[in-house]
This record gives sequence, C-alpha cells and structure tokens, in this order.
Amino acid sequence: MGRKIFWAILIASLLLLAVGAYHREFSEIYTNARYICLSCVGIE
Amino acid sequence: MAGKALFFKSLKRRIKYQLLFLVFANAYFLSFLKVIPCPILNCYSCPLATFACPIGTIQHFLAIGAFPFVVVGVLGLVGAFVGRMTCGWLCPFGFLQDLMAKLSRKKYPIPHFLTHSRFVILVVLVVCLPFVLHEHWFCKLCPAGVLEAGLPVVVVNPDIRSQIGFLFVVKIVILVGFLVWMVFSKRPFCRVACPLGAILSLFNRVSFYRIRVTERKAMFEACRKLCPVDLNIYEDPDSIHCVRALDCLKCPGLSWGKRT
Repeated sequence: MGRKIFWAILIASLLLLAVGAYHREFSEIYTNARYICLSCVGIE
Repeated sequence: MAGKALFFKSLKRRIKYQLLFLVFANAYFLSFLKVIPCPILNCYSCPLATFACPIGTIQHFLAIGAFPFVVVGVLGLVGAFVGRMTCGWLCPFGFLQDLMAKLSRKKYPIPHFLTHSRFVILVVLVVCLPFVLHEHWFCKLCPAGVLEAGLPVVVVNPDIRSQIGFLFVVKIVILVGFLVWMVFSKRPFCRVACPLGAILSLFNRVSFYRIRVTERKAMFEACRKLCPVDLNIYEDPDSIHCVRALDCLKCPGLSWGKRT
C-alpha cells in the first residue's frame, strides 16, 4: 500500500512539474526571487 | 590548516551536511539557481541566497491568483522520497535551532496541542490570506526572513533602513522570542510554526525511505533525549513530527531503509 501511494505521489509531482514548466513558472519564480521582498525584510 | 581539517572531521555527519548546505544555500555566485524552490527555510531576499524559498513562492503565486505547480511538484518529489528529511539535514534555520539548543542542558517540553499550530499557520498565513488579500502574510511575520534577509539588508542598505517601521519591530520581537525559546526547548519553530515542515510532514507516512523499528526496546527515555524534536520514535516511526535527523539510529532496534 505504502509503495503504491509513493508511486502515485511521484507521478503526480512529475506531472505538476511538467505543467509548471509549460506555464513558464520557472521564469516567474526566478523573477520573483531576484527582487528584494519587502515583506520578508519587514517593510509595509 | 591541519587543525581545521581535524575539527571538520570531528563534527557529526549531520552537522557537516547542515554546515555545507548553509554555505551552499547562501553562496551568492550561484544565485542563477533561484529558479529552483529548495525545500528549506532560507529567505530568498537575502542577497547571498542560492535558491527560491518555497513558502515565499507559494504565497507569490496565490497572491497573483495562480496555482504554484512547480513548488508543489518539487515538495511532492522530495517528500515522496525522504519525507521531512531536509528539515533535519539541510535547513539552515533548523541548524540554528540545533546550535541554540546546545546552550542549555535544561529542556522544557512543548505542549502537544501547540505542535499542530503549524498547520493553522500554513492554511491561514500561507494559503488563505495571500490569496484573498494579495500580500505575503507569512513573510511579513517570518523570523527566518528577518534574520537571513531583513537584518543584513537593513544593515547594508541605507534607503531600506530609512523605511523600516512597526512591522520590522514585530518581526524582531518574534525572532528574539524564538531565539530564546530555542535555548530551552528543542526546535520550537519546526514544531510549532514552520509551514514548510507542515507540508513535508504529510509525506512522512508514505515516503519511500523511512525509519523502521526492527525490535522494540525499553530505551524510550534515552532515545528521546537524542531526538532533536523530543519524539519517542519506537511508538511511531512515521510520525508527522519527525524531522528524520536519524540521530535515533544510535538506539538499538532502529534502522533506516526502503519502505516494503
């Protein structure tokens, strides 16, 4: 049972990564991470 | 030089990984890797940061009304193999808590009901509020963020220093509160407040690699003292609270291996 759930999560995760790559999420993640997040620093 | 090498050799294997990953995750010249959300709590606003913070990225996507496919995929992939192991072996904020815990021998237990609050924080501050209010609410309160990004950025950047206000003070108070708590309890932030740990802990019961109890031994108390999150691992080796530090493998009747 445990192994079946593992394989299901693994395949679902790879599918999610593929969908994210298709939607160009990696570039959005990079763009967001490059700039200083004012919330993280503590500025309103 | 030889002395330094000898000192590094004498460190525990887990501390070596934590130390190396602290340097790697804040390597500055590798910032092109910010395209990858790494399942550790290391603020991406730090100029040195190598990776994107998965919690910050989830909030960003929800705030712009999109689903974070890549982050959920990465967390699922890592969680499916090792569960919460990155908390125990790679997370810089977890490493800080392990170091702070060494300052005092006296340890106070954390009430069990508090250990579920991280799920409330995940749902409210990371998912609901950013989606509804379009703001990064967990980041606004994150003590790891103020330690790894807030303080360094404020120190080196006079423009930003002039903009700090009440929120910065709130963040500092939360950070100081956790720093003091870290001395007297084991990994309080991981157990009470970490939303990343909350997500990864869901995979502990199904992950490919797991801790196995091969023989039940009456060494609960001695083994619990070794555990960085104060668990009785013999009772529940797949516990959602386990950070898979594997310090307990020194106890008899426990092993680390593939799920059968």
